[in-house]
Amino acid sequence: MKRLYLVILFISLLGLTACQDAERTISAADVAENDRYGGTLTFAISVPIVGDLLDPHRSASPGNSRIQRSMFDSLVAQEEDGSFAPWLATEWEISEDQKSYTFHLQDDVTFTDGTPFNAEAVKFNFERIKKLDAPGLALSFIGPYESTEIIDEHTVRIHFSKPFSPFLSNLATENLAMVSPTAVEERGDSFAVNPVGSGPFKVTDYTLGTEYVLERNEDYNWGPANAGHTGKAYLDKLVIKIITEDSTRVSSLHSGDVDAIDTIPPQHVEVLENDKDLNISEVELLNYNAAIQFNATEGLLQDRELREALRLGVDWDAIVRTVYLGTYDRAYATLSPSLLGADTDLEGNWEFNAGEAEAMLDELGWKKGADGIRVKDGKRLSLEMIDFYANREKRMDVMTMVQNSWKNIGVELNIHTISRGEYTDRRMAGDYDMWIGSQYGPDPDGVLRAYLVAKEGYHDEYEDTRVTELLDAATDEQDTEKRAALYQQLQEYLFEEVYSIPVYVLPYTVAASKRVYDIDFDTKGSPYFYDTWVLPE
Amino acid sequence: MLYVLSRFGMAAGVILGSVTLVFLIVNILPGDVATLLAGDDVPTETVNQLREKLGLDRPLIVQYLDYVAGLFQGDLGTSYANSEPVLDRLLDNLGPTLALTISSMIVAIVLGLILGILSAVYQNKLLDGIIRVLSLVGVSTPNFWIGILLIWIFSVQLHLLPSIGNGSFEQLILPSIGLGITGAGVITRLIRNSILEASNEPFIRSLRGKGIGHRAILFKHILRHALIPAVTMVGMIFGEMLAGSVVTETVFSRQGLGRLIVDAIDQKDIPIIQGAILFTAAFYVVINMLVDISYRLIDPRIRLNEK
Repeated sequence: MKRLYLVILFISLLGLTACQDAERTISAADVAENDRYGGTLTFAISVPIVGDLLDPHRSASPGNSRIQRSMFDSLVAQEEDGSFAPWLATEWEISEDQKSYTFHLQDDVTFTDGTPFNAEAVKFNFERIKKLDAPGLALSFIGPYESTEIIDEHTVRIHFSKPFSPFLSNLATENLAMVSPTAVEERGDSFAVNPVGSGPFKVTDYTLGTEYVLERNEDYNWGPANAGHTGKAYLDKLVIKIITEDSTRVSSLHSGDVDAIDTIPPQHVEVLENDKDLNISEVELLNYNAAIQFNATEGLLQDRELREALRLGVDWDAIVRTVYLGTYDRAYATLSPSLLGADTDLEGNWEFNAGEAEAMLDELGWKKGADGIRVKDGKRLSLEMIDFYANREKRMDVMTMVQNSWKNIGVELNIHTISRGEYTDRRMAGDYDMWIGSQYGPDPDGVLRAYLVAKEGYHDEYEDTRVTELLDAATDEQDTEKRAALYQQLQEYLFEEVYSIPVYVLPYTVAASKRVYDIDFDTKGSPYFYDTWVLPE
Repeated sequence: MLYVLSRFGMAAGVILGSVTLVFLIVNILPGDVATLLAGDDVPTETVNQLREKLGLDRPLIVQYLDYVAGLFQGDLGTSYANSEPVLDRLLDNLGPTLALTISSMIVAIVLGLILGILSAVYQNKLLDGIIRVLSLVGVSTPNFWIGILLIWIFSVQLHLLPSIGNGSFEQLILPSIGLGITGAGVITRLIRNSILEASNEPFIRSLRGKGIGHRAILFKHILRHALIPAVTMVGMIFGEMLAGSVVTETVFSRQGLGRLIVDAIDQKDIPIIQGAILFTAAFYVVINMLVDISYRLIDPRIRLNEK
């Protein structure tokens, strides 16, 4: 009798473990490709769709690209290692003088409104970007673009006035994706909100500001060559919800109102990681790392030594660890670690040393006054920082701690959170000592120029010909290794000059129910839902 | 009749005044709209073209008069950011905000009345104590925190109600409680005090002397007397709820005017901001007119003022 019990116990234990194992190990390989079709994914994003713009040529914000990437196709796709895979273009050649690119196009592609995709459409798209009155990132992404030449129905040649090495990387982003020429003409102004592409999904319903419903493009058969499958997308439906409030976004995942969320707040990462019903994935956003940018042409911070003292006087490691609870890495160099030209040599090459910082300040003639703030020639060592993002990515938490550290070495920092309009005005006028920001993009050229070269009408922060020389040399250089070396040289120069202080490397995180498989990310870090599939509930 | 007409005149004045004020404020605030819209790395020429297209190169007074003239024709303009008609945007968002504020109002009034009466009836008893503490908590807790707490309890832990969105009745429950609870606290305290005050009025004492039952006195006489300050408060709370909907709509990720305003301010999309303020002001005015009119129903004495 006793033995029988034991046997039953044993068998049930076995059954139990088997069940558990089964639950844990439904791996992608166990589900045949044909069984992956169907279902809906509800995905909550953390940032608004700026201007409600889904027109890829007119937008410039990360929220917008998270929807656009699955609606529009690009001519080429970029692989993780930086190389390029065919997409709407099956192959391409770059001319000897590196000023023209010839693309051979797929011949069976149509936009979701039935318009055929051909050389004419490519030309239309580039000409459109050139003449849009609010062009977003697209215009800067085509650089010295000159003209498009139609060779035949499915061959097109793009001409530049000078070599432009970032072109293919830029082309792989949704900012330069192809839109339907007929729809642009027909929809006029409303195209901005309700555009037409050729992608695996199309928007069928939306509530501006809160929700977008995308349905599968049933005719789709022209996915990028580096995708996991061919033919149409697996999901029937993709619902994108905009939930800006962090705690609500996390709660809606726990409660099952959504299947996946992005941008997990650091304080929630551990809880979500320990939840056995959830998976967390993380990619590095290719970035000009979040950095404190100094105004080096006006005010006190023209002094390089002073800027260096500011860098030495803060325990950046401790701050990044405290604020982001170990979920963000500390940044040393300007470019994020996976971006072309990232400079690992700069890692760990300066140490927090308050004593040395104070000694430097003393030597510069800044003596501590009665209130502990240093004074020189009757002038207080008081600095102004401007910001309009409120506490985006907890940057103000970082800055408050920096403010404290600087106070300890006798430097006063005033942080002004102002409206975006006032911020832009002050940036243009050069009326600030510093600001903090990060810029994402597929290629170092765009992100570096965005921060290091003064935009038209803006105050010039650096006025340093060495910076532009290096940038131009890199833009002309077609050899990837030599280009990377130029960017490393530039970053070392930036480090020497202390034009900015890199603070943290920004990851893009997604937490999803275990039922959700294969949410991919493009090189910029935007989610891409073409290969995504879900298990039935 | 004259009274109603003058009320309408005042209402129109209030609405026009708030539109004018907002027009001035958003235009005085720093930041050039065309520069913001055009985005980074755009040649000055492009920015100027955009400014011309939007009519922002005209003198401010011309822009203002043009806008007001448009209002009288029912034209609220188009969004700077994406050229969509403002009126459509507002109408899309009006329903959800109205549903939220009205249902929160119902939560506030029903809860406030019941708790206020109970609290007064059981004055200085345990129940009164509990209700007074609860109403204090309700008044002093920020909306967004109550919202987050409700989501955590009812959506995450109990899986009873949806945490986000709008459209269905279930999706309205948590946000209305979250937003209504502050108002409920205020009304509870007000009703309690007014009832207690009214109970000592000479006319109540003489009613008691006549031997009329407690319940009849409470519901027919005291409560009617106590309602007047509460009704005034309702008009004011409605304004607070419109303001609170900005936060509540964000916390519960609902569509609505509040969220629309927040997004529009960020982009300095002036036509949207103005349209939303116009709608909100109109609401507020209408509700307060209803409040004024209801005084006369509750208390006949107020009708005397008409003469």
